[in-house]
Amino acid sequence: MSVERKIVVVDDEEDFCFFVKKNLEATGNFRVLLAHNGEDGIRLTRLEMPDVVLLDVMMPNLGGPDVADILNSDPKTKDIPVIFLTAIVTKQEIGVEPMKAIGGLNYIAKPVEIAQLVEAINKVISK
Amino acid sequence: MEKAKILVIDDEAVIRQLLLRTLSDKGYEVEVAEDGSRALEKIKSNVFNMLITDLKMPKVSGMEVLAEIKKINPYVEVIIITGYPTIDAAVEAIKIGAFDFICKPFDLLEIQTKIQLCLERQKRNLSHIQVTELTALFDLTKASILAHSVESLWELILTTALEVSGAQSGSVFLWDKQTNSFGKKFGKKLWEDAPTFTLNEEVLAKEIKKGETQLIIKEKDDKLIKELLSDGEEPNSLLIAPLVGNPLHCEESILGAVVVSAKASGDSFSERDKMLASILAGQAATILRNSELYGELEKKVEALKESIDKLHETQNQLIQTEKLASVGQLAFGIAHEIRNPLGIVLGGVEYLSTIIKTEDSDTNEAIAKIKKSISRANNIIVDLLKFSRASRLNIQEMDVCEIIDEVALLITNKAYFNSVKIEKSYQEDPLLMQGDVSMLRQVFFNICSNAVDAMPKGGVLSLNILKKSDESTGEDVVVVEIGDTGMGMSKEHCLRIFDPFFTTKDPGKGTGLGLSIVHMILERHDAKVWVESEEHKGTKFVIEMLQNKSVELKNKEGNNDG
Ligand SMILES: Nc1ncnc2c1ncn2[C@@H]1O[C@H](COP(=O)(O)OP(=O)(O)OP(=O)(O)O)[C@@H](O)[C@H]1O
Ligand SMILES: [Mg+2]
Repeated sequence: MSVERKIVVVDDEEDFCFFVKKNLEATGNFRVLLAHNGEDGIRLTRLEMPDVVLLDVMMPNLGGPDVADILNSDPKTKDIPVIFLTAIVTKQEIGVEPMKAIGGLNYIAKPVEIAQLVEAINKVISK
Repeated sequence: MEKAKILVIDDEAVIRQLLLRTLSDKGYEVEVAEDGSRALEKIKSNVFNMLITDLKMPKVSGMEVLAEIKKINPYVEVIIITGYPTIDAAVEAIKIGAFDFICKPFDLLEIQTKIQLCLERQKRNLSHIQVTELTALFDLTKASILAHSVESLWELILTTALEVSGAQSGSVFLWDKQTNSFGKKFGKKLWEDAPTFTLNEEVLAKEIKKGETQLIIKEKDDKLIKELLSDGEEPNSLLIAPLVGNPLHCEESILGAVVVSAKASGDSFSERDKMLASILAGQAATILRNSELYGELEKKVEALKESIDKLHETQNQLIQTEKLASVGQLAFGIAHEIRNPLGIVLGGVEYLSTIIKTEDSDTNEAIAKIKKSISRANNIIVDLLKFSRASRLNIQEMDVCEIIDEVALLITNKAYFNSVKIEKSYQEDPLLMQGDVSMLRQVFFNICSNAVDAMPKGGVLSLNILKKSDESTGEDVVVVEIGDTGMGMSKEHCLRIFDPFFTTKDPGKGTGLGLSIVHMILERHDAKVWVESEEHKGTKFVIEMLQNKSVELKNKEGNNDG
């Protein structure tokens, strides 16, 4: 892939963000920008207009689903695909929805291998 | 406060001594037993608040002992000692109704906290135990009032009758209102070959309806004696004392009769005997009326006992379901706390490996091993979650109204303390549907409990059940609405209430798990729940459940235990 894709990662775990950025950028295909809370995530997304937003589900104040709602209701950002990252167990893993339904969106469970993450990003971009 | 009594059962002397010493120091009254049979002996002669027991012991197993002990003292709380802190141990403990378990080697501080918690729970549960004791007290009162069984009551009346009249034999006849004739009879003779006479009951009935004690003398009342007694021996005199409930309405209130015959001295009965008999009959009638009332009361007490037992059972189930659910919720919380750092470690390892980028096989193997360990740790958590959801739903036909009634009963005390009135309105009663009784009871209970909490200054808890059909599919839907007139919630607040550990209650008052358990259970029932709330006005939870569960849902249950 020759074009460098822009990714915004929103997660309150700063160390996690740090390694995601390092690892994605090491592939040479991505440029990663970080935000550590929901509000900053929204601001950064509006400013940078990334190709994909990676969103942590459980964050203080504005959680992942809330951020997604806001991005989705803004015509400017509504077409940017979102992938949820969650340390909470996902439906794929245990067969039942573990929490308040977030809709038919993309989830990835933490811990996640970088190869898997890259695959998921490429999938939503190509759609 | 009274000292809590604890029994420690363990076959290891060191452990017994250790617990004996530390717990006695903490002010508990502690007894120890080295095996099951000793424990049982102690339980029979003492009332313990709590047992701390090992499950693996020689001879009788801890489990068997527990089952026996619970029969003798159902209110005793149990803490299990286990060598290995496994999930299996926890589940086993929960299954046999233990409050908690502690692991060897002991953390003494942890044990004390657990004991504290356990005793607090016992105190909370004590309110319904008191109801049971109340009935026992009632039994006691009954014993002191009547002091005798029905049979010995008649024995008493008859003996007194024979004594005061000097007769050799006599009988009590009880009137049976249903058949409008005499029913039960009790007879008594002063000695083996005292003469007895068989009376014509129809004639006797006619006579006692007159309502007066009669002295019948052989020569004087020959005609009546002939009618009363079938041929054969005739006594020289008879006393017939009717037992009437209300002397003004003898015929309607007739209870029976006391008849004595043949004075031991061979004399006829006198007017004085007649008077004594009539006084006695008056007293006997009173006792009889009381015992009839008592019989009714006894039936009521019986019914009360039954419903108390049922309540007890229900409460236990509730605790059980909640415990299982909280294991799951705990796992849920732990998952978040552990998987985040795991995510960082995995990211870190991958980062390092790209930097090192080596052909060295040792280094690469080391990296592979770290990754493998991460995924092992992760799998444990996923398993834990799967396990907590593996407990199957037990879908059966049930009456929602009955469940709501039970929940209303369970919440009565709490509501009473908050001056909350409970109002029920059922569109249909009974209303049968398919669901897991104990799980759904838990759902309604958690919501009602929150509702009462939301009305600290009083209000109305309304429980409505209605039926409708789904607009799109046409399926029958059962709707349960639980409303309160409490403090209400803001929109933002409403969005978060189903999240695990979200609570606005003071520390120690709420864990924030109640509604997430509700959500989990309803999700598994394929049911919908939502909340309508207005600040300072009140809140309404609406639950919509399919009346007949789909085949898919049942299948889903079947697959869930993998
Ligand atoms: N009927 C209600 N009225 C107002 N607030 C409510 C009501 N029901 C729930 N809540 C809010 O939702 C929060 C979460 O409820 P939930 O039952 O999950 O936990 P909790 O009651 O705080 O603790 P617990 O685990 O002991 O039930 C409550 O703390 C309260 O703020
Ligand atoms: Mg609650």
